[in-house]
Amino acid sequence: MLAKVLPVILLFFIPPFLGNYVLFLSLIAINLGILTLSWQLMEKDSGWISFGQSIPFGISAYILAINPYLTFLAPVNFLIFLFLSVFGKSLFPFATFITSIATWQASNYLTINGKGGEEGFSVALQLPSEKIYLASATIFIVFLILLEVLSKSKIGLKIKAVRDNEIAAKSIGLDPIKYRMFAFFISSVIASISGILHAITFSHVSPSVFSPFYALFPFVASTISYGKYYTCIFGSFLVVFLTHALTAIFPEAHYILYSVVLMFFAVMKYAKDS
Amino acid sequence: MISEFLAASFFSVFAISVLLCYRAGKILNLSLSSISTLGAYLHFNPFLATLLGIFAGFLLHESTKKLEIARATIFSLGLAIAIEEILRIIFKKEYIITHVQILELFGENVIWNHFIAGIISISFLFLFFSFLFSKKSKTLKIVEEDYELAEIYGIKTERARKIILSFTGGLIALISSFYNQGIIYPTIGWQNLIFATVIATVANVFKEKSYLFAIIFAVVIICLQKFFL
Repeated sequence: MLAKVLPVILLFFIPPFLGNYVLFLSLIAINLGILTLSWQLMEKDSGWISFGQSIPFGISAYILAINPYLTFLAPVNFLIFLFLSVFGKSLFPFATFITSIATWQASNYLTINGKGGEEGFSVALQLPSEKIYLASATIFIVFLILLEVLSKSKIGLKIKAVRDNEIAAKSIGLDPIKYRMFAFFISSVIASISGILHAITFSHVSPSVFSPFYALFPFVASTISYGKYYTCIFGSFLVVFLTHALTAIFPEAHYILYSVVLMFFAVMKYAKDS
Repeated sequence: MISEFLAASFFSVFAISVLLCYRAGKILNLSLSSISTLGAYLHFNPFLATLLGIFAGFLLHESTKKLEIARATIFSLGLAIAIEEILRIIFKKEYIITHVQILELFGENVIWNHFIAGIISISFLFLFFSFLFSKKSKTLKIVEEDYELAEIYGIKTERARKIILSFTGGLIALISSFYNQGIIYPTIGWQNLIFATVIATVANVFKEKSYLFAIIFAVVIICLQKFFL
């Protein structure tokens, strides 16, 4: 466990020495790293490939901006995933992605007292970047340890058993819906916290939090970092730094990277299996 | 009501294309969104848009013919993003304003391009349902049912899939090159796909009659939109 967590902790010590810009980008990478952790719980342990992690991420950010006292309600949006899971595992990526795009479009029309719409909302809670960085890094490490422990715990093994074969799991008395709900709930809690940290980082929330960039980010970051809990942060750093480094000369770079990863993931997985 | 009728025919064709790709092509074709965007951006040359739509469909088939549905869907999403970004790189600007010509039809003002898109859509619907009610439609029904069973009956499923994906790609690009409101933007295709997917999802419940119900739902939704918005 220490061997897995230590490189991550060491990585978090570097950015504060490299100036405000690097610190800010690292903060974005850590927040999105937390989102990637939430996605990995859905995909790696539960076997549900979600292209809609931007939904709990964005909704929690919006709730924080509109009414911070209601933020505790944010994880309830795991019910969206639960509802979409009725389509089955093979249609789940499609259903979640279409829902996230629909949410993105709908959020453009959300206005309260003349505020909102395409411009979005301001977040009242404002903190210095250093403090948010410390909070985000700590939260990431806590979630990383928790998910590693959960993955090897009895309940984690039961979630994996349901993932591998629902019928066999039922035959030994496991309720698939119960374990699916548990995994979706924990995943939504983590994604919601990531959304809240993201909103505090920018002090602003706009419909872009539901955009395909955030919906697909965890998939891409996880795929290029070999799909492990403790490596996803490196994928997250790579995508965020690459995106911002190339923005001036090649603004579409991140989406090109996304499309390449998506297409290669599908083909390579097939090649690996066969 | 003519505009609504034309819109309903456009979305019926879009929804039927989604259904065809899913039921017979065994893929949830997310790239139809970008093919629609491609058609819209190439509004000045519908022929080129159609050719590129066919090519995109063919490329999708060749890349996903051995993949199961979830992975094929992921690939189609990758292709969708790739097409969109290529368009962004080529056209450089996100919003394009097009010239809109108004046509007066039975006392109602109709956009000329919508009229053309409507004519193409209705022609397709007529031909498609003529095929569906003919004896040849059995081939499609068997392919929809089971690929292995279809192979036993001597149907070349790979060829059928290739035709379906290429044809729907070309058709969506063609009608999308006409169907716009005078402003073209990058997410135009996603809006069309979401609308068509909602119609296709509900229609798919009706199994063999899903294509017919896709038209009915498209008409109902467009009418509801007219009354409530």
